[in-house]
Amino acid sequence: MASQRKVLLKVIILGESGVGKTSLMNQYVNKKFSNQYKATIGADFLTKEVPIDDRLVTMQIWDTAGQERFQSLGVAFYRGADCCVLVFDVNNAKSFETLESWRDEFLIQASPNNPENFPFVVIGNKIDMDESKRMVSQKRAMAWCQSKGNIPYFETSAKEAINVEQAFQTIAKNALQHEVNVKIDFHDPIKIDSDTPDNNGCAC
Amino acid sequence: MAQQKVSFKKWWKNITGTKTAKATTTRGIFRVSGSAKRVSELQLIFDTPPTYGSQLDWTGFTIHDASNVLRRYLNYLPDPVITLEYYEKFRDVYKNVTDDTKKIAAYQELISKLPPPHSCLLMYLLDLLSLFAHHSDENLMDSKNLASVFQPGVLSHPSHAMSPGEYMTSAAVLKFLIDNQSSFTLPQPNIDDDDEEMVNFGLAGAQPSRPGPMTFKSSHYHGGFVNAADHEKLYEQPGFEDELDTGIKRQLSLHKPISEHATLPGNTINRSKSTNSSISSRHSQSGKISSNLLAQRRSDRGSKSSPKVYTERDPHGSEDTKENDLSEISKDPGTTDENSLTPRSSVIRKATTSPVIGSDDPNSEFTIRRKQLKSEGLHREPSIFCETIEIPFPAPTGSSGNEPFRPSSAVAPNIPRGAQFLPPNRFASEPQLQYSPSATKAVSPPTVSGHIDPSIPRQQDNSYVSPPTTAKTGLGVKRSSATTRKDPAQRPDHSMTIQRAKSNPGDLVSISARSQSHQMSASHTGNHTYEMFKGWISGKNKDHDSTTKEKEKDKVKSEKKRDSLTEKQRKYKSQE
Repeated sequence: MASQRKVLLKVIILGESGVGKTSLMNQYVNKKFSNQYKATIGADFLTKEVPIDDRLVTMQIWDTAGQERFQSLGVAFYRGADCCVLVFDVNNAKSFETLESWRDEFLIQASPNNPENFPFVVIGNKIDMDESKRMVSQKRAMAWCQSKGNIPYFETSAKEAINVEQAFQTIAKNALQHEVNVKIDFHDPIKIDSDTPDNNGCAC
Repeated sequence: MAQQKVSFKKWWKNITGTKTAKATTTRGIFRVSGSAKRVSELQLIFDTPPTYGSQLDWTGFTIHDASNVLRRYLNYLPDPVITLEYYEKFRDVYKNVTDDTKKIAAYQELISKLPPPHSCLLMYLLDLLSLFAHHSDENLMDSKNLASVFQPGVLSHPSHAMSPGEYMTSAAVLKFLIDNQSSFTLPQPNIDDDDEEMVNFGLAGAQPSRPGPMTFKSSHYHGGFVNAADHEKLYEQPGFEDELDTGIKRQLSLHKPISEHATLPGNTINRSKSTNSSISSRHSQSGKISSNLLAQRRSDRGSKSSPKVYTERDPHGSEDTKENDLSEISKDPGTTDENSLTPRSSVIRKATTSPVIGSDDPNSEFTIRRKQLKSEGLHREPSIFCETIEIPFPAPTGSSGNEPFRPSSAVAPNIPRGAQFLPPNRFASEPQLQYSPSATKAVSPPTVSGHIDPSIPRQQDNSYVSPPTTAKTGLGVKRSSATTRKDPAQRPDHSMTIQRAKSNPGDLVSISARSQSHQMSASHTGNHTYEMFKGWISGKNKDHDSTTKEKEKDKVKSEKKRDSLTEKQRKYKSQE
C-alpha cells in the first residue's frame, strides 16, 4: 500500500526513416543532438522517469527503424504499447502522407483493445529548417490530426530542442491515462486498490 | 528529399556506372523509404504471372522504390539470409574472436557451411552493400548504416525480437562482413580448370533437359559492376524462363585468390595454375551434358572430385554430383586491363553461349566504365565473378522422385567446400511440391534444411498452416496482420525474386540468388507453404484449384518459351 505500484509506460515512436525519431528521443532523454547520419538498428529504447501529476512514472520509449516498419519487428514489439508517437518531417511531404499508414499498421499490429481511443501523438519535426523548405503546413497537419479523432499535434525541433519536452509530457500523460484505463477495463476487482494509491500522490 | 523518378534500368545503369552513378550516390539509399504504394505495386507486379514483371517499365518508380523492394524482399524471407541455425554462430565469432584475420577465417568457414542458396545470396548481398558503402561519402550509407538497415533481413532471430542490444550485435556482425566482403568467397565447386570440354558442355548445357539441372546464366558480376546489357541478353537465354520458374539450386562461380583454393579441402581448382594467378573465374553449367562426356570426366577426375563425401551420404548423390560439371577459366592475376580478360571472356562466351557476356569489348559500357573507375582508383577487384548460376530444378511431373529427401543441414557441415554445390538431382528428386499440384497432400519432410529452431513457433512438419488473416492496410495492399518472421508463408515467395531478376537485367544479382533460397524453402516447407505463397500478395489463400490452374498455365507457357529460346540459342551459336 505504501509503495505504489511502479508504472511503466510503453511508448512507441514511428515514422518514415530520417524524420528524426532517434533525434527526438535522444533530445528528450539525453538532451543531446547529433548531426550524424545514422540509421537506427531495428529498434532501441531508452527509459526516463517522468513526474506526472505528482506521480513518478517510467517511460520506456521505443525508437524504431523507419524502414519496412513492421515486417522486421515482431508483433510482440508493439504489444502493450500505451502511446504511439507518429513523427514526420515538416519539410518532407511524403513523410506526412505516410502517417496514416503508420497509424493503421500500428493499430493492426499492436491490436489495442480500443483502437478508436488509443492515444496517438503526432509530431512534426525539423521546424528549425528554413521556412522556404517547409512542405507541410501546420494547418494541414492539424486538419489531419483532427480528422483522426483529435490527435494532439506538436511541432518540434530535436536539433534545437524546441517543443520536445512539451510533446513528451503530453505523450506521457496520455499514455498514463491509457494505462489506467486499460487497468480499469481489465481488472475490475483491482480497480479500487489501484485507484486508492492514485490519490495518495506520494510517489516522491 | 527530392526523389528523382527514374526507370529501373537507368537506375541500374547508374549503379553499374554506365551513366552517372546516381544510385550509389543517392543520399540515404536503402534507408530512405520509397512510396509504400509503389513498392507494394512492384511487389505485386513481381508476383504476378505470366511475365512476373519482366516487361515492367520502370518509369514512374523511384530509386527508393527499387531499393525498398529489395529490402522488403529480404525482410519477408522465411529464413533470414543467415539462417536461424547459424544465427548464434555468426554472432559468437564476432563476440569471441578478437583477431580480424581469425575472424575472417571463421566467417569464411561459416559462410561455406550455410545452405548454398543462403551463402550465395549472402555473398551477393555483401558485394552489393560494400559497393554502396564505398560511396558512403556521398550517399551517407556507410557500412554501419547499411548493416543497420539490412540486419533484420540478414541476421535476426525471433527470440531476440525484443532485445535491441542483440540487434546491435547482429548489425555489428553484418558491418564486419560488409567491411571485409572482399575477403570472403563462396564455397568452391570441385572442378578442374581450363577444361575445354567444359566449354562444350557449356554450349549444350544451355539447353535444358528434364528432369535435370537447368542452367541459369547470370551475367558477369564483377565486384558489383554488372553490365546491364549483359543481363538483358541473359534473359534471352534458352531455358531461362523455366529456370526462373523452377530453379532451386544454383551454382555460381567466382573469382578467388588461388592461394585460398589450395588450402581448401576437396578443392582441386587451379592446382595446375601458377600461384601468381590470383584470380580465377569459373562457371558452371549443366543441363544437357552428354553422359559419355560426363563419364569420361568422371574417370579423368577420379578422386579429385569428392565422390566420397557423397557416397557417404548417399550413393546416388555421388553420381549426381559429378554431373555438376564446371568449367573454369583463369584470369591473369591482378589485371584489370580488358586485354588480359580476353581469353577468359572468349571462353566464357563459348561456355555460356552468351553473345554479349564478357568485358573484352573495348567499346562496351562495362569496359569503358571500368577504365573510368580504374583511372579514378575506384575499380575493385572482383570478389564475385559469376557467369553461370546453375539451377537444377524439380521435374514438373515429379517422375524422378526416388531419392529420399535430405535436409541440407544434415549434410552441409560434412561436405567439403565445393561439394556443397548440390547434386543436380537432389532437388529434382525431392517431393515435387512446387510443381505438381497433385502433390498437395505430400507430407512435408519432418526436418527441413536446418532452418528449424525449436524456439520458433512453427508447425512441427514445417508447413505453415495457419491461414493468413487479411487486413486492409493503409498501404493500399492487403497484407496479413501478422506478418512476421514466424510466418514465412505470408512472405513473398520465390516468384518475387525471380521476377525481379527477370525484369531487371541489372537488378541486384542477389535478388536472383535469393530466389533460389526461397524456392528451396518453399519446396522444403511443402506444398502447403507454396500455396500460401501464392496467396501472399493478395493476402488471402487462393483456392487450391485456381493456383493449380495457374501453375499449369505457367508450365505450358514456360515450355513454349523454352522452345522459342532454343531457337535463339542456335542463333547465338551460329554467331559464334
